[in-house]
Amino acid sequence: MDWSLFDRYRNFIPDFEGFLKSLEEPFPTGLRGTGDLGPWLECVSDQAYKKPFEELFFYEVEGERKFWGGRLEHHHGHYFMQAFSSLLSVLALSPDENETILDMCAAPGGKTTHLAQMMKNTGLLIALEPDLNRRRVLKANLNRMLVANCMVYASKGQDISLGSLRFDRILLDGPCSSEGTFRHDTLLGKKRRKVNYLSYNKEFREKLHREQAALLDHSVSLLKENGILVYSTCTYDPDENEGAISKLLKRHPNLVIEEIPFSQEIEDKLSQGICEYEGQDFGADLLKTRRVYPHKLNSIGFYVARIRKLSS
Amino acid sequence: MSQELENSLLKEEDRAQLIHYLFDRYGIKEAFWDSWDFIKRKEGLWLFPRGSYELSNQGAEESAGLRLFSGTEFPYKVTHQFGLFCQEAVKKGTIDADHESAVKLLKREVDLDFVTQETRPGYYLIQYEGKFVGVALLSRGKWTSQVPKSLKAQLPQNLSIRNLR
Repeated sequence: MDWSLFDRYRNFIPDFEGFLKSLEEPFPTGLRGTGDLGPWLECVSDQAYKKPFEELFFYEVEGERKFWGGRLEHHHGHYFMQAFSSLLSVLALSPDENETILDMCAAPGGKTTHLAQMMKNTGLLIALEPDLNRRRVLKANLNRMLVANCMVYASKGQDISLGSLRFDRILLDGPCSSEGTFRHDTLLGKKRRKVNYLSYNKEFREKLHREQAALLDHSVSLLKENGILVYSTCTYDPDENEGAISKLLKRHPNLVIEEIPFSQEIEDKLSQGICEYEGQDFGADLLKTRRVYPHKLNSIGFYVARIRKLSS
Repeated sequence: MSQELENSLLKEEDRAQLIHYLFDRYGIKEAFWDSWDFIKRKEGLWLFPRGSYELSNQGAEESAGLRLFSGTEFPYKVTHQFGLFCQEAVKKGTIDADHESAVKLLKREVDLDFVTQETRPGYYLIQYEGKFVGVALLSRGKWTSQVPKSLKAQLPQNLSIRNLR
């Protein structure tokens, strides 16, 4: 594969050659369990599984996704197939029981169902998805995972109006250039081979930046005082990550970036956010955000930032 | 309370009737439902955390909660999700099936039969090794699988059930 798209990141991705090498390797199928799957995994598959983090019911398994997706246990909500990186958004948000939480871009529902699991099906979880087909998939996953505390709205995040309702926490895992998913040739469907994804398309990226900014601004308006916003993407592009957050902080001086409460086991696999790129100074606080590189953590590339709203 | 909200939340007397029925039919203690509301929508009854439904724009949402019952009037038909959600709380109205019968239920085969002394018509929760598998209807002495067609379509041909312990 031609990975020249990533040459512009050579100066800040550690062990850049190791990073490029990891892009040629597939990442494992991950199962996020609703409980301990270990004994069951030993029964159903003669291949070994891994539990990379002791604190989490997350397992890396061998075999095709079709095998794990076809099992009755999958349909009965015992696990959700997802990449480990995508768990980080919800762990960073650290939702609690009886809270009011908003998932701004919810489909297909991996993070939404994880939120509900951590909320123990209490409180109020609102999930937004404007696309009808994606909403069908979202609702099917909510149903499958026995999520009872979620309301689904057919709306774009930046357009939602919920009266006087404000949220304790908001998750914004929004549209991005998805560079972090370019991990193996099998991940690149025909659609993604088009110019928008494999080469740098300025117009496409600028449109993304505008949408990301609109989503971020509206998220801030929906947060309670002292509420938490987690912003995440699956891209390496600093303009969509640290750049977006840096500009957000300038527009909203009542926001602060917080350290993310990951365990040391997870923290050891992550990299700090960057504070400058191509002449832009994002500020030292962006070092509190976190990046995932596939040669450090065997998953898709990812970015996550945790922000608190101090006062209205 | 808004008129829209009154039309959606199950009225207290209907709620009491439903909870009593679930105790009588499935042995689910009334206290199991203490932290839950039932929302009445056109497709049935949906479960939602008690007190949370009032917080949002009722009626503007496309869906809310988990559908436990289908139908529009009492007695409602229990859904597959009811069996999964309530399986630890259910004390009766269940049948233990062998593996072959459990697989036939999931495949929605027509010649269903279970070794049981149950004769009361209605919906039963079929279990295998103590774990919920699906709902079956007993009517006029005949069993009919109520497993959703969409679930049957997604299961492999050579289905084998290995329960979580």
